This record gives sequence, C-alpha cells and structure tokens, in this order.
Amino acid sequence: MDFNQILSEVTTIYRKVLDNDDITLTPETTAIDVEEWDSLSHIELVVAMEKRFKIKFTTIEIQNWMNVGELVKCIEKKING
Amino acid sequence: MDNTISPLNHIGCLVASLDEAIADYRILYPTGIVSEIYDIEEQKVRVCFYTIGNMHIEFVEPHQAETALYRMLQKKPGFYHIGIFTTDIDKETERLENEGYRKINKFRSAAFGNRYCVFLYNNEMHLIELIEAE
Repeated sequence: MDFNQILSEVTTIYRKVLDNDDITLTPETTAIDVEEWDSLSHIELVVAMEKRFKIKFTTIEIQNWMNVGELVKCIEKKING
Repeated sequence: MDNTISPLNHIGCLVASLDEAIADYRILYPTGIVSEIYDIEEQKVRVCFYTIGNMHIEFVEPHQAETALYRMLQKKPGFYHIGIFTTDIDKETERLENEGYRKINKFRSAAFGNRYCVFLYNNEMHLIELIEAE
C-alpha cells in the first residue's frame, strides 16, 4: 500500500471510530482540527488501526506523531518493511 | 514488581442525567447515599457517587458533545469503567503498560480530593481508572 492508500484507509477508520462521515484527513491534520479526536478516542483510533493493518505501535511512536502524515508514514514503514 | 492496587472501589456508569440516575437507583436502593456533585473539567463531565454499603457507583454525565464519552453515552449508556486505588500510581501505571495496557491520560480529579487519576484501556478495551490513594 502506498501513502495515499493508507491515508484513505485511515480516514475510513477515523470516520467510523469518531462516528463522523464528514471527517477529511490530510497529512497536515492534527487533533486540533478534529473536534472528536480526544485522548480517549486517540487510543480507540490506535487500536482500530493496529487491527486493520495488523501492526503494533510502540508508546514512543504514538507519542511522537505530530500530524496524520507522520502517522501514515509510520504505518507505511511497518507494513512495507 | 509488587502490586500496589486496592480492591475494587467503584464502577463508573455513563448517564444522560445525574438527577435521573439518582432517582432510578433510589428505587433499587432507597437508602443509598449521594455524594456532592463534582465538575471534572479535564473529562468534560459532572460526576457524583451513589454509595450502597461499601460499594460506590460513580454516575458520569458528559456535557460536551464532541467527546469520546459523550459518543459512548449515545451508543450505549451504562457501566464503562472500574475504579481502583493504588498506593503508587506511577509504578502501577508502568506495570500495566508493560503488560499491554494503554494509558489514556493522567489528571487531577476533584472527585478524589484533587489526587491523581490515570485512565487505561486493558487488552479487552475495558477502561480502568487508577486513583492515587491518600
């Protein structure tokens, strides 16, 4: 999967977990841009992405993402090796 | 590492209205004791405790629509976390994280005399609240 395919999948996960079909993610999107994205839903999102992509994030990775682009790059690296 | 947690202290229950929840539980347990109401800004909720004997039910009323707790309430009101005291909250948090629990946040809670609380998801995605013991 390339960056854009993963971004599209991640967007689908965000819409489902946050129960908002209007969410549109870009690489620059941060938690400030998505009202429903709080600390509790962040963990729900992380777990949903781990299940979808069959990967595991480390605590450091989760804490270091500055935006959606960094998250997607992290997934891309894990699934493409 | 020693386990520093206490027996179960309370069960957290999401409710649309504290007053209505109290009235409902009054039917079940007429002698239950209601605590004062606390505004937990960090969580965007109002809470109170309904005490029956040694057991506490924490009623949690989310008051801001764009929060995970509010969405949880819309999907399925009900019991959603257990609360446990610990004599060493940082050590216990670290122990649980090492076992795969996911830390959500650490904050001071007015409901517990401004002591620290930590919410974690366990591996079953159940919410656990650790509360700093006095």
